[in-house]
Formats: sequence, structure tokens, C-alpha cells
Amino acid sequence: MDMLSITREVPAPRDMARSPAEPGVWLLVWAELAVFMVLFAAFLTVWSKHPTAFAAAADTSLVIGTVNTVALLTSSALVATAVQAARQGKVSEARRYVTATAALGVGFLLLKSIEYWTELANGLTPATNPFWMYYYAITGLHATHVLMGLGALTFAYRCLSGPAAHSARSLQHLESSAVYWHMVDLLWIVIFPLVYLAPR
Amino acid sequence: MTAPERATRTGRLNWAVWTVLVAATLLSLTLSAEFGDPRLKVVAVVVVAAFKVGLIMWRFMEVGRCGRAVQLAFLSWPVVLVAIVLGVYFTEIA
Repeated sequence: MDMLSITREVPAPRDMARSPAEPGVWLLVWAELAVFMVLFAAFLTVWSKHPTAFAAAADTSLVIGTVNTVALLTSSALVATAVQAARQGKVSEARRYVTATAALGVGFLLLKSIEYWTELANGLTPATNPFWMYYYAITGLHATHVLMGLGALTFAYRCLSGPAAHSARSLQHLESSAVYWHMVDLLWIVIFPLVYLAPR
Repeated sequence: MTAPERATRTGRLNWAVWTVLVAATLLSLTLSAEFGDPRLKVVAVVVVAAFKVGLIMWRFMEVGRCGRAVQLAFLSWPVVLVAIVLGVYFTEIA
């Protein structure tokens, strides 16, 4: 065989082989998921001790819960699309997707505020019974994470607007913010059926 | 496949996944209203939620591009979730 005819497989470009986001972000997200897992286990344990109190899940708003679920799912698809756009160097397009993601996050918090306001006006407070205590604790902690996610998206937007907008570092900041935002989304995907639907 | 073609395909795939996720949400709502037996309702909504979580991790978070340890740590989360929720539910609540 002619030595020159030997072909070698071309290795994948290094960029394609690398994990998205910074390693520390993956660790942070995993730790957050572990904390929420403990909260969900506590919710179930208290449910087993106070089954009648948990029938109060029927007083939660299915409409707001469903709209908020669709809002967060849409925001996740948008931020994933922003990452794809940034990888192709379409930074202004990526910024638009990040803005739309953040707008849905703000919308989520507004709807959640309306929901809280209505429930509190109806006398349903954390002191009402164990269900409402866990409802406010779990959804309140989640809302705090939505706020932190909005902070991360703002940071990513700023990175995509600065002089280093096209740098690998900016892309990694966007990927990290996106991974954090997806965590916010998937936590809600568990909270909605577990807190709103299952005990109903 | 060229880079722009690959990007277009990835974009379409993201929105196809979004459609599946929204459809799963509506399915979950329908099942929770339809099932008279609360045990069936809890199994249905929890399994659908775990499926959605796995899909988001794989497709949107791109866990598949991470190392084996990260993949295992993340993809085991929805499995452990189902085990804990259904385990506690069927031993203590149902």
C-alpha cells in the first residue's frame, strides 16, 4: 500500500469537545438540585403526617401555574437558541433572545406576585397549615432563584454587549447563565406537579 | 452538513423539544383531572415531570456534551426524584 494513501481521521475541533458552561456552575447547579430534592422529600413527609391539610392544594391557581410553566419552558428554548446564535457569532441576535428570556422571567415573577397577593388576601398565609407553609417556602425559594437567574442573564447580556462580545469568554458566560436558567425551569417543572397537582 | 445548516437544524430541534415539553405539560394536566384514583394521578404527573426534566437536561442544558461523571450526576436526579416521590407516596401517603 502506498504510504501516501493512508488517511487519518480528522479529530473533532476542540471547541466541539468542550463542555458548555464553567465547571463551577455545574457544581453549583447540582448542589441546588440536591437542596431542592431534600425540600421535596420534606414536603412529602409532612404530607404523610397531615393529609387533610394538603387537600388545600385545590386552592392553588392552576391557570397561573400552567401559564408560568409554559413561560419558563419558552424561556428555556429561547436561551438555548441564544447560545446557538452566539456560537455562530450572531451576537446581536443572541442579545435579543436573552432579552426575551429575561422578559418571560419577569413575567413569571409578576404572575407569581399576583398569585401570592390573591392567596394572602384570602387569608392563606404560611401560618394557615403545613401545606401553605411548604407552598410558600418551596415556591418562594424558587422565585428567589428566578431573581438570581435574571441577574445571571443581565450579566450575560452585558458580556455580549461589551468590546469582548465575540470572545470565547463571553460565550462561556452566556452558556453558564443558560445552564443556571435551565435549572430554574426544571425545578418549576417538578414544583408544579408536586405542589399544585399531586395533593389536589 | 455545513455549519449554517447544522445551526438551522439545531434551532428547529430546540423548538420541536419545546413543543414536546408543552404537550407533556398539557398531558399532565389532563391526566391529573381525568384519573379518579389519586395513586394513578400521582404516578402520571411525577413520571411526566421526570421525563420533561431529563429532556431539558439532555437537549437544552447539553449534559450530553459533559463528562461521564457530570452526565451521571445530573441524569440520575430525575430517576432519584421519581424513586423518592413514589417511594414516600406509596409507603406513607396512599
